[in-house]
Amino acid sequence: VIAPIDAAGNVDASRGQRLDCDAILMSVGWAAAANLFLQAGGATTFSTDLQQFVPKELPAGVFAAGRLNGVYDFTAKVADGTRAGMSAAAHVGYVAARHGGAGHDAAITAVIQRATRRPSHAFPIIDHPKAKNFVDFDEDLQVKDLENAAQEGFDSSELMKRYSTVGMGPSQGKHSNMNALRVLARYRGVGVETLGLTTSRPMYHPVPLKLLAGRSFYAERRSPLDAEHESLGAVWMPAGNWRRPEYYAVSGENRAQSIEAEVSAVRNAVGLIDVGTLGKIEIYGPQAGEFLDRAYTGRFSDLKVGMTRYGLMLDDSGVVVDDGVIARLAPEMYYFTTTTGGSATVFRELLRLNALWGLDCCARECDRPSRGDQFRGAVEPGAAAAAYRSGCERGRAALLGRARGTGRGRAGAAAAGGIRRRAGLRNSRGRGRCRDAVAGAVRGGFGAAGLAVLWRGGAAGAASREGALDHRPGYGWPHRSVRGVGIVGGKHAKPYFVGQRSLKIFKARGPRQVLTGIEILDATRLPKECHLVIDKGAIAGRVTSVVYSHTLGKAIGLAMLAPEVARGGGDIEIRGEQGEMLPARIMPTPFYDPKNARQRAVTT
Amino acid sequence: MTMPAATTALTATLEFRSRTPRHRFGLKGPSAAQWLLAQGLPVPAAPNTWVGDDGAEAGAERQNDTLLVARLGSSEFFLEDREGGVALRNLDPGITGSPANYPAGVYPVLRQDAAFLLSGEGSLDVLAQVCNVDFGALALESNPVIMTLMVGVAVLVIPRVEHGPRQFNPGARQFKIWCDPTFGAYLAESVGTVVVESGGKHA
Repeated sequence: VIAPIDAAGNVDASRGQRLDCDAILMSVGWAAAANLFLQAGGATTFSTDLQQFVPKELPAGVFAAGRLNGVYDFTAKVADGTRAGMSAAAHVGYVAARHGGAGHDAAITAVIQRATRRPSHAFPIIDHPKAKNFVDFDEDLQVKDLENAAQEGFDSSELMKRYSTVGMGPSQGKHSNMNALRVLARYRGVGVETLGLTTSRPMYHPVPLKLLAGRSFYAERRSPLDAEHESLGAVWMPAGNWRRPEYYAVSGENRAQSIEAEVSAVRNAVGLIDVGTLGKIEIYGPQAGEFLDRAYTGRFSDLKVGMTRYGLMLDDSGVVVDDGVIARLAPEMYYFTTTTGGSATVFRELLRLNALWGLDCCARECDRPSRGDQFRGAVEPGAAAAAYRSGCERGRAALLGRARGTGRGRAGAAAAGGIRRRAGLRNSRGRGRCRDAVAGAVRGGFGAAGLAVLWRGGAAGAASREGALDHRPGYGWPHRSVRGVGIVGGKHAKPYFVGQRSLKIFKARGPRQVLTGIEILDATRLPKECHLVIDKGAIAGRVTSVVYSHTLGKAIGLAMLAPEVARGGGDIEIRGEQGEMLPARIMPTPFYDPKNARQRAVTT
Repeated sequence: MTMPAATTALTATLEFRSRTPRHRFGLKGPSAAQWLLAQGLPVPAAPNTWVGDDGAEAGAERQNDTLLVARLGSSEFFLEDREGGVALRNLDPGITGSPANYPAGVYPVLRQDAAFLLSGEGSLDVLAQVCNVDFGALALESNPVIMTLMVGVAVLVIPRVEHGPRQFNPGARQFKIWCDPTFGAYLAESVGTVVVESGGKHA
């Protein structure tokens, strides 16, 4: 319903009209773009007549024009622009020939024709008794939020901005700063002119209207098995720009129960997870091995054909940016995986590195459905792995984890805690086989996979989200299969790999934090990711992940801790959400099957 | 009453549809251009352009469905056969076999793109809503190949003018669009929605 209001904000409901609409646009009054003027050292004063700030002092060589001057009429704005332009030209010594003499002087000295009718309402916020009175849509701030800030003592424009974050959203206060000042002035019972504008800092640029009016899109990738997941009751979650099943909903079970059931299946029977979302890249050419030796921490030029090896990619600062399994399919051809979230970035980086190094090899993405269908099966001893076999053994699958589990493909196995096979079905029958396999096994979603990684002491939760593995290898990096990462010295040293120089520096300096296993002693009160670890009254690190494990019957987690605290073991405390101290204990990792007995029982 | 051609073009239906599967593959490497020439295939002279090859079936009716060779960079190419075409399948088998048999300096690239066709009146308006490139400003006689983002997805776009008596909208622009197949469903839904909201048909 739309109805007129008077200057005092009284609504004339008798003249209301009902309109069907999809969206409502709201005018919040005018606020001139004074940012550049202020950054140039200009000073403003508030004009009650215009209800806006106008220039009070112009720095030498700065000339304002248009709405900043309170000029709203088009003809008047043209004249004001001419005046300012002429003044600027004269300031630097030019006198326009066409406007020389009296005309030129007249243009410069022309009186600014400000609006005679107030362009903005003195207080364009009308209280609604049953609704929220938003002032800043970027930051979800209402009138009462700003009044609360003032009540708390943050009652200057600068303090209110910092306390409430008004004007700190994407629009940078273009629609909210002026009205926040009005709210503050009303609360304090003073005029806006006594408050002043907040400091204007670079960068400043206007918001193109097309950004406000245009469509917004969120690109989403879907696995070739998307339809199969959907039919199996997948509950989706975003992973990078993929949509992946977090778990498979079962009638009568809640989310936690479904995930736990999938975890139990992996422990005691068989589970399958679709990892077709992993990046898949081939690199081939005479110098492909040398290229990988440079791009990854490990050595791949000596990898035997048909074998696989875990690969860890660092950036120049030595931080892990991606990982995967690298297989040598032919003397001059390698096939490898990347993380789901990192696939596009890694491929782009490999192309950049190849352009930089000029080696005789070529990288290509194999992220194609008919060739890249992959799944992982986590198979426990004694479990009939019919599903697994139907997907891998009977077909002409190229197994990245060798069937007899030599250990070279253990990156996946170590993370799952079961006997993991990773299969890359390199033919168009992969989808059908995978469908058959999924039908005969308990599906495993991303939630269960995260738990399995945590059991093994792998980077999970905040430490692994979206492929951002923000750890430096050797500093508590938990995978035993990362042997070879520390090739920074000794007889196995490589001459170069990305991040090697930084690792040498870190090695000499020693770690500042290490990823450490923890047990939360009171499983009924769990801390959250990023809660602080306290040791002897001092901050000793932060929690990166925590979960209750039904398999282990205890709450476990990981934390980045100071090395001396991690080495010392024993009890620590974690500061909870309300400041309460939660008792915890440092634990060795992996939490589950630390001697890898279950894997060994199958592979021997 | 027979409508003039220009009017016919303006009243043609806006349509966005998936294109039927065709044989496609890519090539990279310093010797890729020479290898294409050795196969008797045309090679675009400049990056970001394309050429078509009608072969023995050349004729007006086939002009919108030629074997297409697009040059994506100095040493990278994308090839797509015509519907039902076998020319690409009959190329030197070394390029599709074991890596050990690849010709020196030539690297095949697997291409299983999702492929779409946008055509009809209003195509440019749809593109303006889903992509930053101003396709209306392109000179089609130079056979441009556009690699850009559309609804946030990396795409390859070839705009061209419809020809031939079998084409329902001669003289109008149509846009062939390719993207990674894992983005295919999303791109189809996103662009298709805009097309339908613009009064067109999403087939």
